[in-house]
Amino acid sequence: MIRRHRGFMLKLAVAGALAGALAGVGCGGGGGVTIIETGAGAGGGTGSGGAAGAWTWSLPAGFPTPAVPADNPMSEAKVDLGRFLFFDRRLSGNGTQSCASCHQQDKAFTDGFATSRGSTGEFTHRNAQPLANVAYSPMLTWANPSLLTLEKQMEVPLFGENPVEMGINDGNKAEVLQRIATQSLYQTKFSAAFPGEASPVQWANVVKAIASFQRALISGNSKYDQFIAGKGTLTPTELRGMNLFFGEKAECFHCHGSPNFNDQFVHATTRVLETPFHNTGLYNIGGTGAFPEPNRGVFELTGLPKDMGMFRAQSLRNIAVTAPYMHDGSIATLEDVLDFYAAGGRNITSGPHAGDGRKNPLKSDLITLITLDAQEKADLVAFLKTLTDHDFLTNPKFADPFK
Amino acid sequence: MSKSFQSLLAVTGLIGAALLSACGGGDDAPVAPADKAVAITFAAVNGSTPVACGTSVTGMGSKAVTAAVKDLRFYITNLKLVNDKGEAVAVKLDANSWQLTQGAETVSLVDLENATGTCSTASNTTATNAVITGTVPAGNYVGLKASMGVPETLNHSAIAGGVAPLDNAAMAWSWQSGRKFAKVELDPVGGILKTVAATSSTAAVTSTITTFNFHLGSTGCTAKLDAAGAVVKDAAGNTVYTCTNPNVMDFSLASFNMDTQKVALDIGKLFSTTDITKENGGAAGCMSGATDPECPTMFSQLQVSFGSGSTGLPIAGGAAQQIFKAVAK
Repeated sequence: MIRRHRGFMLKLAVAGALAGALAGVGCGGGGGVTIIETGAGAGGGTGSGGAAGAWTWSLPAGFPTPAVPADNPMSEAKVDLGRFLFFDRRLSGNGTQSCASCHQQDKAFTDGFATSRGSTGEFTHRNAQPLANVAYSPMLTWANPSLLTLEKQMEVPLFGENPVEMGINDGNKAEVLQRIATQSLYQTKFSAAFPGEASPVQWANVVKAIASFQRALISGNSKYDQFIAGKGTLTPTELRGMNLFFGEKAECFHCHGSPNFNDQFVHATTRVLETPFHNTGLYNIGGTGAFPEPNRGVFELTGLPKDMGMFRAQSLRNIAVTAPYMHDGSIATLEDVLDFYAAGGRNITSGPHAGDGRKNPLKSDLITLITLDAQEKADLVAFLKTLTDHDFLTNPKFADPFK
Repeated sequence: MSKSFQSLLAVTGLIGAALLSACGGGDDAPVAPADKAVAITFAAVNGSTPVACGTSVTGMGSKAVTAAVKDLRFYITNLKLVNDKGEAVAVKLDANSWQLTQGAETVSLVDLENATGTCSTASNTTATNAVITGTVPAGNYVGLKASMGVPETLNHSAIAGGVAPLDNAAMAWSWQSGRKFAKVELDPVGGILKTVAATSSTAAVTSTITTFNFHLGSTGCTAKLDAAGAVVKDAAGNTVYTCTNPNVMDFSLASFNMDTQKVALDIGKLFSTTDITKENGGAAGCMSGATDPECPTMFSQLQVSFGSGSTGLPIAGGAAQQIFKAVAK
C-alpha cells in the first residue's frame, strides 16, 4: 500500500517535471531544491578544510543527505585514503587484485562478468554489485539481511574463504597490513585520515576509509537527471520509454522507484523504511519453486521456505553499462531483461535448472505477463540508457590514483 | 534525575558494605576466600587415540573410512566448574589473546591445528592453544559445564580490528555476519562423491571433492533496522542480530579432575553417524545450513535441534551428548 502510494507520488512528480519542461518553464518543476553539479571537474564533495577535513555533501537535486554510521563520520582525508586503498592491489593476499578489479569505474563499478574471479582463481557466487549511490542502501549485496553497513560487508571480499576474493587470511593479514604501513604515501594519508591515533594503519581503519570512499560515490547527473532538472531534453523515444517505465502498464517503478531506482533506500531523515526482497520468477527448478544453489536468495541465510528466490531489486542507475544482469549474471542484455519481465518470468526448458519460472509459487505478484511491442521495448531501453551518468563514469575523483 | 538517585543508592549501599566489613560485619559474614588458579586442557581424540594434524584417523564416519585432519578449532564459552555442592561456578578468564571477557560474557578459542601436514593451508596458522586459564573461588571442584560457541552479543562483532580471539579470519563467517563456532575438517582417503541430483530433464551428475567440512555456527541471523533505517545497537554499541537457530552446543562432564584429566573432543564420535564419503547438496560437508543434507546426523551428535523451523537449541541441555568427554592427561 505504502509502496504503491510512493510510486504514485513519484509519478506525479515526474509528470509535473514533464509538464513544466513541455511548457518551457525554466523552473524545472522544482520546489526549492538546490542543484550542485557533481560532474567531472566540478569539485563534488569539496568545501572543507583542516587535516581530517570536515565533509560537505554535494548532492544532485532530489538526493537527500545520506545516513552515515556514527563511528565512521565522513571526511575528505578518509575519502582520499579510501580511494587509494580501493585501487591498491597490495590489499589482496597475493597482491594481484584490488577492490577495483571487480568494481571498475567505467562500468559503474561492476566488472562485466556474470560472476567475478577472485585473487586465487575462485569465482564468486553472484554478480559484482555496482557501487553508485551505495550510501543510500540499507542492506548490501543481493540477498543478505545481515549485512547492514559497508564496514561489515567489506569483511566478505577481504577475508571471505568460500569463495576466496581478496584472499586475506590469518597467515598473511599482518604482512598485507605491513605492505601498506611501510609506504610513506600511506603513512601520511592514514595520519591525516585518523588524526591523533598513534598507529593508525590498522585493519579497522582500512575498512573505515574504503567505506567512506564508497559513500562518496554519488551518481545523479545522467541525461534523465538533467531532464528532470530542466537542463536537458529527452528524445521522443526516451520520453515514451519514461512514460512506460513510470506507468501502470510496465510497472517498473514499483520496485525501481526511489531516487536510486530501486526500492531499498535509506537516508539521514528516513522515517519509514522498507527493505523488500523479491522473487521474480527467474527459476522454478522442477516446478518446486527452487532456485539453484548456492543462489537461493535470502533463503541461503534464513533457510525459511518463504525466502526462496528472494533477491534485492537492483538500482537501475548506469544500468546500460553493468551487463550482464540479474544476481547470477544469467541475462546478457537489457533487451533480454525486458523480454524476461514481459513474459512474467523465465521458462527454462532443458538442463539442470529446467522449470517454468513464470509459475514459481513465490513469484512477486508484480511480475505478470505484459504485452510490449518491439517499439515499446526499444523505447524502454532508450529510457534506461538515459540513466547513465557519464560524468560519474569518468570523474577523476573516483578514478584510479595510481594511473 | 532517577539515574542519579539510583547511583546515590548504589553508593549508599557500597558505604554500607564498607562499614560492615570495616566493623568485622558480624560473625556470619562470609570471609572472602582466596581465588584458585585453574588451567583446563583440551584435546582431540578418536575414541581413545589422540588426533593431530598430519596423522591419519581411522574408522571415520558411518562408512568407517580413514581420513586426514585438515582443521581442528572451536570456541568455548560459558565455561564453569561444578563444585561438590552441585553449584556451577563461572571460570573468570585470565586476559590473553586466546580468551576474552566482555561484561558477563566469556569466550576462548581452542586451536588444535598447527598448519603442518594436511593442516598446511592458507588459512591455518602455526600457533595453537589447548588450555583455558583463569580463576575460580576456592572450593572442591568435581565437574565441568561449558558450551561450544560464541556468545550472541559477541558473535557478530567486527573481524577487521576485532578483539582477540575474535579477530581470527578463518573463524569468521561472513555468510551469517558471525563466527564459525567450530571448524573441523577431514579429507577422507578416496575422496568424497558429490552428486547433483537428476532433474526431469537431466541425469544426475557426480564429481569427486576432497574435504568434508564441519562448520558450526548460528544461522538465520538478521540484523535490525529501526523504522528510520538506522542500525539497532545494544547499550555496548554492538549491532543487534537475531538468529533463528543459535546452534550453540551445551555439554557437561559430571566427573572431571582438571589436574589429571583433559576435555577431549571425540571426532570419531562427532562424525560417527554421518557418511563423510558422500556429498548430496548444500555446502561441502555440513556448514550448519538449515537444508544441508549432511547436517541432521552431525547435529544429532551435538544434541542440538536442527533445521528450518526448529529452535537450534540444545536438547535437554546436551545431556545425551558424547562428543566431549574427560580423558586422562
